[in-house]
Amino acid sequence: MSEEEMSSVVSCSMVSGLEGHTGSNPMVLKVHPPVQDFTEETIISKVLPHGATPYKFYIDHMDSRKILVYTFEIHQDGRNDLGSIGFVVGKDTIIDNLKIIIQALVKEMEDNQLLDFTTLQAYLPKIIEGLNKQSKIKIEKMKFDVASVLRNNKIELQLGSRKAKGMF
Amino acid sequence: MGLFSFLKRSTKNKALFTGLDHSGKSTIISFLQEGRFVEHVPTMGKDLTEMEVQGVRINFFDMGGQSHFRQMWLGEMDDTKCVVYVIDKSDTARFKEAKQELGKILPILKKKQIKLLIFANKHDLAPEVDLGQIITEFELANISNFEIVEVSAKTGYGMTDAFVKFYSILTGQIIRKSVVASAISIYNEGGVPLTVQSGGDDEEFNKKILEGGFLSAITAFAKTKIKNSSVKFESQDDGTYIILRSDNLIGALLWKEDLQIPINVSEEALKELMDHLETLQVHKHEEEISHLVQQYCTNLM
Repeated sequence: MSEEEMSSVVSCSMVSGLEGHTGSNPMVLKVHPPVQDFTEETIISKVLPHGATPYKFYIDHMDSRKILVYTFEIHQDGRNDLGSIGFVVGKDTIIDNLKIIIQALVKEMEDNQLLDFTTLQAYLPKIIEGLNKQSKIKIEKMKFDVASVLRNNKIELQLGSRKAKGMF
Repeated sequence: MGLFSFLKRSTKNKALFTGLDHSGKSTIISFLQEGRFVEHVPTMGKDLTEMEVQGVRINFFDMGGQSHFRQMWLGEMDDTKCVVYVIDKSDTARFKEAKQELGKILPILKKKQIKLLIFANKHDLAPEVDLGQIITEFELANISNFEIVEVSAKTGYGMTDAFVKFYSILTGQIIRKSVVASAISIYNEGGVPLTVQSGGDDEEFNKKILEGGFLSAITAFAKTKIKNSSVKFESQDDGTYIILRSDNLIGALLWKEDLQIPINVSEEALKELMDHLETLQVHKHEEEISHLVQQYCTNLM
């Protein structure tokens, strides 16, 4: 992992799912930015662990990298899909606080009827950017303000970030 | 007794639920646990659930049915006492695929002497597909030791009978299905009767339930408007009526001493039925209510 990746909140994110229709199979839909050793075969069991059920967090490792995964349900006319969004977290990232942000983001996407595989794949780069810059994530008409959620919950995403702010 | 003998004990009654994706394995397991229909997303790999029945611990291994996971079924056969193979009897187009997958596990079942129970699920969607047709199409007559039951994990049809069979195959012990009600009637929230089911399907009796003093009691209860409340109403002629209001419906269950079960068991059963009907939102489809209550009552009477 490069120095930049290690110091960011999240260095990479992935969307995966198991659709509810007959004949489906688990799949990794998008990895952003692409990582050479993150093939479907190597990460599927990490981003969709056995026994995974919606609205739960799972943590796994890939070499020295830590992957935080949040699962959810995507509503369909027939049986709902199981979806997951995974994040490779930086060394200073406070995972419990990142969980609060991810849970809130997924809830807001769901409330705005934007929680589907197509939208998640399309906006994955914006989500990573918003988390790293702690800025607004704009998904179609929805605006999710990472900074404001952090402020409201009186939390920070990275160790030592308050000290750093005070210094400059 | 070794230090880790408790680990062995925990898998003593291991049952493996297999079958194609979308056949209803998880829905069956949750119905057995909760007594009502629960919708599920597809099972990712495998999911473990534990249940204790009359002091016997049962470990349900709910195996994902997607082609990606089917190889795992074989890896879980060790220590398994019973394999439940679930068929979606409404999806005749996939019978061939379901038969092929069953064929792959049969040699292992034979070798390890694991008992096979087949659940022909989704009976509510395909009542016309009978067990004879399934036995023929799956060539089950060639299998030496299996049992097959029709169920619907959506309406509850046949679930208690299926569990009684499952329990006896798994543990070698007999449990009897309890009759918990002499009659059950359902009303809308204003107290208007929607359906009545009685053990004997006696039309005169059904008519009587919907008339006279009992209906007056329901009407009076309907006016209270307190959700999830219940009362007991004793009738000298019939027995004790338990009346319960859920969010959108009122249910009444007739309990008699000769049922030989405690009245609180019947009360709990009525509560489960009402939860089930609310989950299915039957108040929005009153035309279906008679059929749905009849299917569920296969477990209660």
